[in-house]
Amino acid sequence: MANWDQIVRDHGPAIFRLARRILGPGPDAEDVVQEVFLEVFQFRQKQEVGNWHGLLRRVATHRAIDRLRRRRGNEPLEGLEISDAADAPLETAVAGELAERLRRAITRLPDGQAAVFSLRYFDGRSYDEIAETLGMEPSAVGTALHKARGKLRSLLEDKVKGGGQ
Amino acid sequence: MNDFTQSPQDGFVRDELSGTLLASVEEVLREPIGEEDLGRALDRARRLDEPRSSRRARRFRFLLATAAVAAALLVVIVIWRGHQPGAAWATVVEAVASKPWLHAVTTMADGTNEELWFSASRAVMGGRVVVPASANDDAREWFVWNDLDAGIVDLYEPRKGLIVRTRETQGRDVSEYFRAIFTAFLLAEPGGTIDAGRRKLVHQQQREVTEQGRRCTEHRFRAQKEDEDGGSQRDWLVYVDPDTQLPFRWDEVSSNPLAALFGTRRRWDVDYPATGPADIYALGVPKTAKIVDRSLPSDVEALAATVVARSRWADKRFYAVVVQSDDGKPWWDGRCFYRVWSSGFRWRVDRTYGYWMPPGEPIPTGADPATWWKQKAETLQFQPENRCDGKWEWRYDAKSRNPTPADIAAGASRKLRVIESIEKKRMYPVRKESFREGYPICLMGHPTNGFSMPPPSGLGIYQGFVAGVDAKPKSGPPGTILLQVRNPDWKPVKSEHGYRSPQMWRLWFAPDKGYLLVRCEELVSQDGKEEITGGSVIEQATQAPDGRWYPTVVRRFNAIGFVGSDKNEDMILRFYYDFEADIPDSLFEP
Repeated sequence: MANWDQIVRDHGPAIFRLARRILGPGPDAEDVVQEVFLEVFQFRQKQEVGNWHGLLRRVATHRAIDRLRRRRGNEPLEGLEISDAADAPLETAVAGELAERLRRAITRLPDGQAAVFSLRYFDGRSYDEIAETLGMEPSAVGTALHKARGKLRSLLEDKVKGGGQ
Repeated sequence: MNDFTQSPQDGFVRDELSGTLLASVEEVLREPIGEEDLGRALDRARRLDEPRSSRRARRFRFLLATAAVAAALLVVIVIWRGHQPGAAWATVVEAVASKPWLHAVTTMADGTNEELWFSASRAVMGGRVVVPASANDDAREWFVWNDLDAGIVDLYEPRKGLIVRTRETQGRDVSEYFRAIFTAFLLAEPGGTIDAGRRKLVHQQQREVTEQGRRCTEHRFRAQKEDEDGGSQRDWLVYVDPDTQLPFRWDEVSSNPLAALFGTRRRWDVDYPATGPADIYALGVPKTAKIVDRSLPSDVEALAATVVARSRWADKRFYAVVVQSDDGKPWWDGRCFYRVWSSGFRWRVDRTYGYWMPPGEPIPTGADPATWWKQKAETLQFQPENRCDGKWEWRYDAKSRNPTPADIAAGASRKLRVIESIEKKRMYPVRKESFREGYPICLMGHPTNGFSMPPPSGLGIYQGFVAGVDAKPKSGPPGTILLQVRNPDWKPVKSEHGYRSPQMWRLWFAPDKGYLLVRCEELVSQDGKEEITGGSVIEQATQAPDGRWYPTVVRRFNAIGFVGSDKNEDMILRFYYDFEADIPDSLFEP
C-alpha cells in the first residue's frame, strides 16, 4: 500500500489549489481537502487505488462544488453588482467580485457541468483527462463544457448589460 | 502563485473563453493560493493516517489529557489544599465528552417545555426553545441547530415556515444563550463568556449535597459581568453523579426580572441517550421547510471591516461646537447647541437648554462662523447630555422649566430654561468590537450618539437581515459604495407614537473620504412605492490634519416635527471643530 505521507505530498498541493479556486479564499478549501483525503483514506482501506490523481480530483471537484452550492445556493445572483475593475472605488474591499460572481454562477449549473467547467478552467485539464477523472466520454465533456460556458456567459454578461437589476 | 500558465493546454483553454467569463476565470486564477493555508491543509491531511480525528475531537483529546492530568493532580491538590473545583470539573467535562449525546429538558411555569441536544464528538447543538411573550409579540417556539465547528446557526420558526441560516458571528440569536452555555460551560473549561461576551463564567465552588434523594456534587457557576455592581446575576447549579461524573440536572437561578417569566429557578433534567437527532428536521421541523441562507456575503463583511479599519477610532481626538438649525435658516440662527469632546472610545456631549434668540445686531460680513460660534459658545449655558468614560455610556436627564419673574429677578436669563435637577444614568457598556444591539445603523452626524460613538465592526446588521454591496451604485453621491440592508420580516405597523421602524437602509460610503458614511436612508416600501422615513446626508465635510474626514454640515431627513403639522422638516447640523484643543481626561468622568 502506498505511503500516505507521500500521497499527500504528491497530490495535496494540486487538490488544495483546485478546491481553493472553486471555493475562493477562506477556510472552506482547507476543510474540503481534509474531507477529500479522509474519504479517499477510507476508500483505500477497502480497495486498492490505481489512479490516485484521478480519484482525488474527482472527489475534490464534487466536494468543493457541493460546499460551494451549500454556501451560495440560496443567495440571489442579484446580490452583487458588476463593476469595472479599473474604476471600482471599493478597492480591496470587493476585489475579487468577478471571481465571486463566477462562483455563484457555477452553483447554478448542473453538477456535471460545474465539475467539467472547474476541471477545465480552474485546473487546466484536457478533455481526455476530464473524461477519465469523471468517468465520462470525451465527447460528453465537450458538450457539457459548451453548455456550461453558454449558461455562465448568459448569467454574467446579461448582468453587466442589464446594469445589475 | 498559480500554475495555470504552466498547463500544456493553457493557450487552448483561454481561447475557449471571452468577455466577462474570461475575465472572471482569470480573476480566479490570479487569486493567491495561500501558502500557509496550503501547509495547514496538508498537515491535516497527513494526520489522517493517525487515528481518525476531527478538530473538535482533537480538542477533546486535549481536554481528556488535561482532565487526566488534572485528575491525577487533584489527588495531590486535595491533600494539599482541600477542594479544587476547576480540576474536578475537568472530570465532568471528560465524562460528558465521552457520551454520544446529552439531552436536557425543562418545563416552564405554563407547562410548556424546552429541550436541548448536545454532542461533543459531533460538535453540534440543537433543540426547541421558547421565546417568552413580550408587549409586542406572543410567545414563540423556535427550533435551533448549531454546527459549533463551522459556526453555522439554523433557526426555524413555525409561523415563518423557513429555516434561516446565519453565522454565529453575525449577531445574537435565540440559540446564542444555549450555545454559549455549552461552549463556554460544558464543552470548554469555565472561564468562557456568555451573553455576547459580556459575562464571564466563574466556577465558584463545589460541595457535597443531597438532591432527589441521592448524594451528589453540586458545582456552582456564576455569570459575572465585568464592572457590574449588582444588577442581574445568574447562577448555574450543576448536580453531578459522583459515580459517573455526569451531570443529571442543572438549575438556573437568576435575579433578572425577566427570569420571572420562567420562574427565578429553572430546572433542567439531563439524560444521555445513545442516539440523537441527525439534523434540525429530526427535532420536529417539517421536511418541507426550506433553508434560506442569510449569511452575510463576504463583500459586506469586507466593507464593514474596511469602514472600521479606516475610521482609526482609537486615536481620534477633537472638540466641536455643533449648531442645530431648522432647514433654510442661516448658519448663525440655531435652535439647539452642543459641545462635543471625543478622545478614542471616550466622549462627552453637553447641550444647551432653552431657546436661542438670533443676534439683534448684524453679523459682520465675512465673519468666520467657526470662530464666531466658538466664542458664542463660551457665553451659553450647557448641561451634560451624554458621556462615556471608555467603559460605560452615561445619560443625563435634566428637569427644567421656563424662568419665572422671580428667577429673572435673581439673575436668570430670560432666554434659557432653568434647570431644576439632573439625573445621571448608566446605560450601556462600551463594546469596542461590535455595535450595541438595538441601535439602527445610521445615526451618523448626530452629536448625541452616532457622531461620537465608534463605528461598529458589524455595521449593526442584525442576524436575519439581508445585506448586499453595490460597488457602483446608480444612486447616491458619486464615487460611493452602497450598502443595502433589508429586514425581511418587517411589518407595516406603527408604534403608538406613530413611528415606523425602517424596512430597509441604504448607506453610501465614500472611499475617497476614508469610507465616511456620507448618506443614509431609512425606507419603507408599501404597494410597490418606496418612502424615505429618515436618514441623513453629509452636505459638507472637512479633512483633519491627521487625514480623517469629518462632517461639517449634515442634513437629517424629517427630523423636526412642528405642532399642528403632521409633516416633519429636515434638521441641519453644523459642526465647528478644533482638532488641536486641549482635552483633559477629567472631561469624560461621569
